[in-house]
Amino acid sequence: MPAVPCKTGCGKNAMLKRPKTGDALCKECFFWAFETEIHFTITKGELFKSGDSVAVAASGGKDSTVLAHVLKTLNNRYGYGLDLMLLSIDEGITGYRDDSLETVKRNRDDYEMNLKILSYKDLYGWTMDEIVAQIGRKNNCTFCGVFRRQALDRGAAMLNVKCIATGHNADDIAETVLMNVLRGDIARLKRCTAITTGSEGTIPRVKPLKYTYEKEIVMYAHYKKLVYFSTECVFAPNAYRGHARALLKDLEKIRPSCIMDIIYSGETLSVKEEVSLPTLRVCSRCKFVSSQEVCKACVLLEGLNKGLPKLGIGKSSKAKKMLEEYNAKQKTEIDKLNYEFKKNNCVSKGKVCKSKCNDISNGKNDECNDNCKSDKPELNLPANPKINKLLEEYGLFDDNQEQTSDITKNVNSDLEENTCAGACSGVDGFSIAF
Amino acid sequence: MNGITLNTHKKLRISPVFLHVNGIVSTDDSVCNFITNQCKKYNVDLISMNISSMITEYKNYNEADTTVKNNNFRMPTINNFINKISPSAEKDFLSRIRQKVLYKMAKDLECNSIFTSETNTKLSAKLLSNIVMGRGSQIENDIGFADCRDKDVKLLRPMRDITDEELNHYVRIRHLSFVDTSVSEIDLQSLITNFISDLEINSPATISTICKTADKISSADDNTGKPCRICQNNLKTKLDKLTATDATAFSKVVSSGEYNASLLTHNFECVTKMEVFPHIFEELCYSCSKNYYEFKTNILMH
Repeated sequence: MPAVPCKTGCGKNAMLKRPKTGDALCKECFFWAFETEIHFTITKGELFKSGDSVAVAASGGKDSTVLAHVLKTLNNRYGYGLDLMLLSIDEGITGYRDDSLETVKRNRDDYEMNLKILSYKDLYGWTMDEIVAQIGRKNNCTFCGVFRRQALDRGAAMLNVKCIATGHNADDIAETVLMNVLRGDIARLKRCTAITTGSEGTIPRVKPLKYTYEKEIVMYAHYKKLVYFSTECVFAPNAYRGHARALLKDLEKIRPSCIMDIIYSGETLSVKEEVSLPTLRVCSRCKFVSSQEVCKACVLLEGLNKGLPKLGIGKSSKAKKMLEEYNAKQKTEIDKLNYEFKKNNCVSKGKVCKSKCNDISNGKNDECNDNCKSDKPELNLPANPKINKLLEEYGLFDDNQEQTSDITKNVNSDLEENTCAGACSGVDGFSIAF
Repeated sequence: MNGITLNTHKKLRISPVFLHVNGIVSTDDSVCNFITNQCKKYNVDLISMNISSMITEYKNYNEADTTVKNNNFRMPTINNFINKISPSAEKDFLSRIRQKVLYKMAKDLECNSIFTSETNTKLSAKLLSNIVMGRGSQIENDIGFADCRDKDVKLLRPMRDITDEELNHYVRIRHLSFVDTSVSEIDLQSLITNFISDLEINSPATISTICKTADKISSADDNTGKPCRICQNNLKTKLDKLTATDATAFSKVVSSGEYNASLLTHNFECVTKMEVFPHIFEELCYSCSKNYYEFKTNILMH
């Protein structure tokens, strides 16, 4: 096969054909074009300001590795004046994240950047391995995605950075546009193509690789001999995204430019004024940004901690129904236990309560009052091993002994008010550093 | 024609005219004969015409070619155009021209409404095709119940909520006959049609979700702007400081050796973008400009 000259006219022979434009380039010209395009995206999109501290979300995969490398290169070449650092999230996936974090550590050394690693275990009290053991292979990506999004925010706040740079590439964004169309998620459809996201009061996220093709990222990493981790997550891939991904790959084979066309579509469409979109506010529990009263991370965590792992999967109405059923069940169980407790202590076993409180024949209240002269543990539920076990299992009431008389009355409102056992600041597992 | 006003809701009194536009897919005479017989059976007027006869601005292909080379926009003739672009762009272009034909004929026949037979399934595929071709901002008119781009004639889609599956049941129960003109081709639109067909079988709820999504989307266009010369969609689009047009144009320049540092600033807008996207936002919308670029590039190569 005859040698093809580099399209730029540099005189060298081409080494590759750019997937994005179809132009044949030599290695050096490809590197230069690749980096210059990202520089163009950064400058035209006004992603950074001089002197900003930027956390590069690093997973050890190709996208984040290339992002870290290119940002460092461009920062030196064009004098951005950025203080770059790496931020990683350890989801606790054995055989996947533990290995990829080793790659991130290598990047830290290679690029001489600080690295901060936050783990799901520390933040939420659960690793993804444990979550998958609860929820199964289906829907586990929901947990991982929601927790990671929040974990990145928390990490960025700890690092006190101005923004987070993520490695989302053009394929990812096009894929997300398609996915949001397929599932009718109009709110996400509107914002998924934005190069900078983040509302007031939150740390903005920027996507310097927004217009960079995945194939080119792989080629860049390959020719630059960058160290990255290329294994897929050991848990089942997200089925819905997989659908959109498969479609996009097929489309790309026919018309490679369709990736940019899809992004352009996302950029130029808008939502009709009469369509109500969720407004961003602060989660009433963890105080992080949320479109609901309680954020998705708190709902998911509550489900995990209550043994209802599917609580946050699907529509919020489903979750509400599930919680109502759970509360009703709890109430029934507690009523039953109360009844048995009284029965055991006051009536059964041939004992008679001396307090006269249980004088049912007199039609009086069957609850012990202050005048009760029995052992006076009336509804001392924690003393009952059955209740202890129940409470331990569902984590509803930690040491609420003095409130036990109110349990049967207030169980519903308690669950509404204090359903989050992990994501809010009231729990040990979550109160660390936040 | 009063039948579709609200005052006369008891009986639908309209004078329909059937319009068959051929030349979009290669059809033989049997299809035309079938349509003629059906119209005779139902006693309605039929007008059949070839799509290529509609664009008559440039009968002389050479003249059009010269104009294109000189960087002036002229509507290319159909035959001239479709032979020089990819199948996906060809299909996209033809569907736009078909729409033009419908509007033109409606006006000639003094009809104030056009009814099309697009079903929920077809519109779902059309929505995805629109997005894939960069026509996301045009979804409102292309997929919605009413296309109000033209002031005088409205294009309506009365079968918008009916799926292909329901339609097939109806056809079977009513013992209606039809001709299947579908042909397998390698283009984006065919791929999406197959994808939608699979979805209809495996997760039918997704189809209606896609169409409902379309109901919520509007264009970010400024409706006061002038329309695209080919697809009639508004040209003035509210854009961010950086869009896919900029990124695409920049990529082209960077890997063609024409880069210079000033392109990062003001020169980029006026010089580069217009080369990669000819007549964009002046005469043509993003997608039509891309199609036109393909056409122009092929002409210059020959």
